[in-house]
Amino acid sequence: MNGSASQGGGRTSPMPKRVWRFLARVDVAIALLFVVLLLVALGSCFPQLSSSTAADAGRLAVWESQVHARYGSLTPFLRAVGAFRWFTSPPFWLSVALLALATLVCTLNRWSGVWRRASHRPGRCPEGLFERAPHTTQLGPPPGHERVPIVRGCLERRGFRVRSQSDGGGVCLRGDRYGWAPLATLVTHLAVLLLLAGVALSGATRWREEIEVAPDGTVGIGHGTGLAVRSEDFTVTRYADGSVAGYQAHVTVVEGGRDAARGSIRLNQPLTYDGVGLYLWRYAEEGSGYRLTLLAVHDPGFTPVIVAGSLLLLGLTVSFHFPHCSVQARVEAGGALRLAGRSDRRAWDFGREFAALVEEIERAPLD
Amino acid sequence: MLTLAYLLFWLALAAYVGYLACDRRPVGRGATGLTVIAWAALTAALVRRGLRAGHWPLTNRYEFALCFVWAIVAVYLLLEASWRRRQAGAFVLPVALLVATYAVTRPADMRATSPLLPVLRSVWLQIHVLTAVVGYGALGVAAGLGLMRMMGGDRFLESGPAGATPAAMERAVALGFPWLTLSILTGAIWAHRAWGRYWGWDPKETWTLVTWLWYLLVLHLRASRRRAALVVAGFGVLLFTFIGLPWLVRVVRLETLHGF
Repeated sequence: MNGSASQGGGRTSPMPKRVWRFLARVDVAIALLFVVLLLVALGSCFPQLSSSTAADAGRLAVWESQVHARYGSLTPFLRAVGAFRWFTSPPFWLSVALLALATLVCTLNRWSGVWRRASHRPGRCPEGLFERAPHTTQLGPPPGHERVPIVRGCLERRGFRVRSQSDGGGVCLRGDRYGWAPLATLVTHLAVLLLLAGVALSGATRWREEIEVAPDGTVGIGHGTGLAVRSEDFTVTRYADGSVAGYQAHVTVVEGGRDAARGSIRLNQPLTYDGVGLYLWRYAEEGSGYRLTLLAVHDPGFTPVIVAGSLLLLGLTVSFHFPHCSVQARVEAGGALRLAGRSDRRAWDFGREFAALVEEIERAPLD
Repeated sequence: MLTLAYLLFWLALAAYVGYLACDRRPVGRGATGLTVIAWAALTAALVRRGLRAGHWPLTNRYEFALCFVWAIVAVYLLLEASWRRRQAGAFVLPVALLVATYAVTRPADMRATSPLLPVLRSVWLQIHVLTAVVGYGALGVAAGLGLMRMMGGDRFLESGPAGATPAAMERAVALGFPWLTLSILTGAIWAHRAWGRYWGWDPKETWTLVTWLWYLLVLHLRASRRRAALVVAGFGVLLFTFIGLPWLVRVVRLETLHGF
């Protein structure tokens, strides 16, 4: 990958290529990761102005006065650099975007190599394999040909998929376990990108609206949903000692003047209709009933984020706990059996397993 | 029962240190035996607490700390069984005792059992906290192994292949990191169901992200003694997220929805 243009004739690489190579470097990704980490930690050192507080003039005034009392004359400066809206500020998202770009470039850069490693596994033993492989051994008599079925059996018992191929007068066996595992790293990196896309989708399309509903009252939900919500009932359950065990609101969702859905809302259990979630937010006694404050939420980014998180977890689990291992065996024309093993660096016990495999082959009785 | 477990952990640590110094097998066996008994006593105490409260003992900082200790020791005992070596005990048990000391010094009102708050009545919360316990436990063991690596690593081992200590540390990080990820994922699902948003830059969420990014960074680095130092420092970040955050919240006057 390193600069063919610069090698020929001393010309420098075109700028896009240089940028690409720069972003594909692991040390650059690590540096960007560290920058994002620092910025996240920095943001937690300042009180953040939430969008709900910003939208409420009264709450905003209280918040502003508290911040001013805390930071005094520094307040205008901190406000100017975005310290109180740090996680929506341009420097923060620029660094996240750069990290996402580096992740994308790194993934694309590695795609063909990883794909080849996962899908192309030649049965023939390459030259120098038995000198270069991290784990090698050679077994003497009896003749190796008699051991081929034993090697195959031992490998298959250990979960390896074994293929054999004639190789210049000898026989080559190749066993692979978790052969597709190298692709997991790509899944992990793509999941990070999908996750960031989900977060961006949330940021661009999510809305939240507090709705106050009087007892037996009906209130419309905005944002062009054409929905309204009617409060039917509200109950509070208590433990034996009188403390609150749970709240439950019974509501009806109305669409176009007709009852569209009826259900209950509890803490941790919203009612969802047509992509809009209704959450129980607050309640206050009013006459013989309860005035409820519900929170209507629409967030199309949630599902992509959870799917991305699940893919990330899958990729991590496969990468760490199902690493690719391969064992190759060649029966030389003279009858000697040579074995070579290699594995992903996360197959921590492979050295021990390879030694046990060799011992098992040596001890196996010949037919 | 908890006091007994706590004292037994200290005795086990003394035995592990003695084993490291004199390399006598009976001392090592005694250290493991004491650790198993202490762990069993802690398990019994947690089960009793859960039965008395009527819910999983995962609902405040004190209970989480106890479960954290339980997980560190459980992961360590599994490591010891698969590793067939006991030297790491002298480095991992101090990590467990650090958290245990935090737990036993909590004020009485935090140690008292109480009915479950309505917002905590969610299966997602239980999965979220349980997965965090496992992840934290494994990363605690990784920190102990990181300490061992920094102080000489394989020098303490009487036999075996070179690089056994860093490999065990890597393995512990590789165990803890996906659990930490799962904990964040299930926490996001719970937050979405409870508050209508899966991420809110709450200080606890923010520092959990810092912890996750830290270990992600460690996983991208090449194996070295510096990496072991970063694993130990990562545990410091994790402890700050768990123990130090209330201090930050108080000092900076932040708002948080997280009780622990």
